[in-house]
Amino acid sequence: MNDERIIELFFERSEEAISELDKKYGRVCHAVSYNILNDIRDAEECVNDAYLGTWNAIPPARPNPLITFVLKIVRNISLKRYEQNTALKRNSRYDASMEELEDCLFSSSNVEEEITKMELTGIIESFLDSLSKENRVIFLRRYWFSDTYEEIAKTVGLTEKNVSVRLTRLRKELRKYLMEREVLL
Amino acid sequence: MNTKKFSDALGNIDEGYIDEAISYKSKRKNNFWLKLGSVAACLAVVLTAGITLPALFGEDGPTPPRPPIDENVIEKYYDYGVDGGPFSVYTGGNVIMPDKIGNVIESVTVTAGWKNADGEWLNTENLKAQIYSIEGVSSSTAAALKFIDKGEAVTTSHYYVITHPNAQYNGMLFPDYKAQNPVRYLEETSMGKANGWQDFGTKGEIRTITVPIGSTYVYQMYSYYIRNDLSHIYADEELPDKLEDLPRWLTDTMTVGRRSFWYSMGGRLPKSITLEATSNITSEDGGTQFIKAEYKTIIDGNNGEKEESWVIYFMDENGVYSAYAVVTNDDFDFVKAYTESIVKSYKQK
Repeated sequence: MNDERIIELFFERSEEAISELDKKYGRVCHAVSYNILNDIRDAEECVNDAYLGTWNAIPPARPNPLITFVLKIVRNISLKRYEQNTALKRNSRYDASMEELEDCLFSSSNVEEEITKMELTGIIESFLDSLSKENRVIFLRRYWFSDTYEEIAKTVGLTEKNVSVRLTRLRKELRKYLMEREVLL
Repeated sequence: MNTKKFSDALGNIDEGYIDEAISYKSKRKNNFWLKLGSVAACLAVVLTAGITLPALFGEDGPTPPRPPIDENVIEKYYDYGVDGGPFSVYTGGNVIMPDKIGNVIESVTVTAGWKNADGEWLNTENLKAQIYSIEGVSSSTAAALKFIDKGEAVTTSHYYVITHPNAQYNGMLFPDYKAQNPVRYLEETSMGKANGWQDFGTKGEIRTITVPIGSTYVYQMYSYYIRNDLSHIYADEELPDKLEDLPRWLTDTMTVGRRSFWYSMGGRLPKSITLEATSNITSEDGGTQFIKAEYKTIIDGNNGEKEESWVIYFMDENGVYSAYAVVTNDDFDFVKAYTESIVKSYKQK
């Protein structure tokens, strides 16, 4: 079923909308949530919550593309759940990918100098624009989707070793990019 | 070090980047397999086309799903079908705007009547009707039907989409109206016939469906977010002159008015109704004023008395009162915020 039709089902308030959404995009939604939470049941709940969020947003929203809209909700809800769970466990793929990033981010000593989240989003976007398409995909697959090196290697057709080297380079570039713009987090 | 902030900001990046990362296909695959794969893909297309195209267009193709019927709520429902001719296989659907209607194709007779939850006819009547073309849509896919004889319906002013069982909806210019029920779907419950409350109002553009969210039923409207014209419900009652008086009037009217209204929303008559608060809301385009009324009701539930919270939005459009009502059994604030966002997005046609 195409996205347009699924959205029409949401507009018709047909529960079929959810099952068609799940049929088409359930796997990638679960993967994104699981990568953050490392728990199948938590991921399942977050994905269901995201479906409800989608149900509430459409109408009036008519997102295009549909999947990125849903994935953003999945990621946000999963990160919220992650924060609640953090005290209990820290062993997800998300942790691993974020730990990698720690070294290239600078800590702010003065709260007033802190950059706003929106400004930072803009800077990240311009950083992404400066990358080749393949590197952009590798970066996002690692830090947005929290995919493993192995999964990224399959996606882009490189070896795991290659992916690891690329990511190290990309982090260095990010560090340089942030430093030049005096970004403090 | 603040990975959380970075992660949050990353989460807000434009959706185009995420889309690119999802849909990315590597060009690095092994050439031999890539070529073999292309040959296989071509073969697959040929084979599937051979198998599925006749199925899509032929006699044995897929048929649209039946309208979802909640058997706990609906004991019987009104249905209709064209007698004989090419349109006899078409499925009846919802109302379509008059501005989409083209020329008359033919005059027909229609068998209409009540069906039980299993879809069996309980009684039928034969009514005259006319078939119209729909602009931009081939009549072999869908057409519009307008009743000439009134039968049991409230009006004959609406056009209903009827669709061929094998119709492909995706390319159509109007939403797929096949799944839910039309104006003539006069709901009847154990409390009696709800006298046309699911009607599409005076303009023919309104659609009302109940949607469960958790254990809360939201009366969701399809296009222009007005649930129904109260004068349909209160055909025998005089409504207040001023809209502001309506919320209170609904708690005070002990007989027909109150019964019809609360039945139409909840299918049950509350033992008591208390008006908790009222406030004014303006739609985001600034064009429409609503009065929001919050009620508490007591009903007889399965395990004794039960309290329910209701939010009802009233509006006055050229002297016609309409209402959009929500009962909230749980998550009161969540449901209220959600419905409010719907009401605020109301746009006058």
